[in-house]
Amino acid sequence: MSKHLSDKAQSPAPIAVLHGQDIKTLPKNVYIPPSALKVLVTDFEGPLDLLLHFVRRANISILDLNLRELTEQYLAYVDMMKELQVEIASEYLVMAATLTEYKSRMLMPRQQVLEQDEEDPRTELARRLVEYEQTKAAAAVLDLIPRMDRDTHQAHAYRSVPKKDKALPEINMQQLFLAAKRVIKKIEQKEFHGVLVKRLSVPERIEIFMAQLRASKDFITFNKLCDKLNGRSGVVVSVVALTEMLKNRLIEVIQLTTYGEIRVRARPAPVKDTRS
Amino acid sequence: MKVDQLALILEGALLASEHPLNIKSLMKMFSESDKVNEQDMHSALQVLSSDCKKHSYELCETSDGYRIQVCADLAPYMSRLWPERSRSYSPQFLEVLALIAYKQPITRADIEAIRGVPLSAYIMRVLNERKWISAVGQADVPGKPTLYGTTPEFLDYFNLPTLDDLPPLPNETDTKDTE
Repeated sequence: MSKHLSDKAQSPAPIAVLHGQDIKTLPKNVYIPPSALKVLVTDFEGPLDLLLHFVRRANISILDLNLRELTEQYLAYVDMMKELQVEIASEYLVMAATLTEYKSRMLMPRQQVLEQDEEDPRTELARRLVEYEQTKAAAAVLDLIPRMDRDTHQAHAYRSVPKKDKALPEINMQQLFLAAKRVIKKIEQKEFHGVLVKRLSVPERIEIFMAQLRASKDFITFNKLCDKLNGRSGVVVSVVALTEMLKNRLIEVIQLTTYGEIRVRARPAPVKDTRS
Repeated sequence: MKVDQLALILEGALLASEHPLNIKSLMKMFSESDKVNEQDMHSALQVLSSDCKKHSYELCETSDGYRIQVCADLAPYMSRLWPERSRSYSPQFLEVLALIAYKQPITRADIEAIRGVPLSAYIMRVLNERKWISAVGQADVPGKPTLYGTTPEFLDYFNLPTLDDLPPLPNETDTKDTE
């Protein structure tokens, strides 16, 4: 759009043809929404790009640039942006100031400039423009290089790797069984089972022992005698029964060595008789 | 080992690999009894390169080694299959990358001075994320600003064996006359 506006200033060519008539001036009530101009500003990468555009349009070499003309064009552009209430990036204003400074330096008597051994501002600006133009060219060159994913693609063949872990499903099966087993076990653990308390009687045990001892007539080891069928309480009852029998002098208990076998036998009847 | 067979083995290796392979890693495939030396390797790669001409792919030497890639002239068709891959980059992005590539080592300030605009942090972040640039040192000026340069990944991506293979820039007089 800016190109359009500035072109109008340069060439007297009609800007449009309406109903067969050339229109040479813009209608005054034309409304340009400021948002449209935002696109325009971003069209240029920066002030140098804008200046380069002016130079190119004038079709002159950078080295022959007319600083006064260029500055005026540039300032007109910045003014236009201001008028259209477009936010101007600070670097555009910096360049405006720089150009104005260059222009004023150019106005100074040449003699003085030479004496001060100052660089011609045109040279400075031209150097920057050339450098920037080269950067743009470099970017264009870079963009043309065939690059991966856009122009070339890494060739890749499917490589079938023999899978060594084929046994994996089997292991899984086993694990499945084991897991099932664990679950079943857990369920079993949750089942109720009643515990019956077996009443063991000491007198009953004494009678059983007496019958056993009398039948053998010889020593019977405690180990053999002991009731092992009723677990811990059976053993306890056996010991209590034997102690009771010993107290009542019904039996003789001997142990030959320390920690040795304890032997038990029934006391002969006559001894018992004399006592009682 | 015959050159033709060696060329086939190398082709297989390069196709099986997802990244470029250099001579050193290619050599790992052979034991001493195979009696393959580097010169055999190079001649086999040459055979492979000419064999590729019959196919859609070509042998390409990058900074990281060798890679077999689909020829660039087929790109228009390939890009239709994967439109998301062939992203294009903005002029700003390419200008910054071009400055770093052609003028490395270079500081952020240098880039800003040449372009006349502040350097966008986004561009630098993308360049870093793509691993195309890295800090290569510090400039010997006050503040010791970071100097940036390109990486082997950049060369790989742009199909360049070395930095010297960057295409020459059109010189001043040329740019003046164009357009």
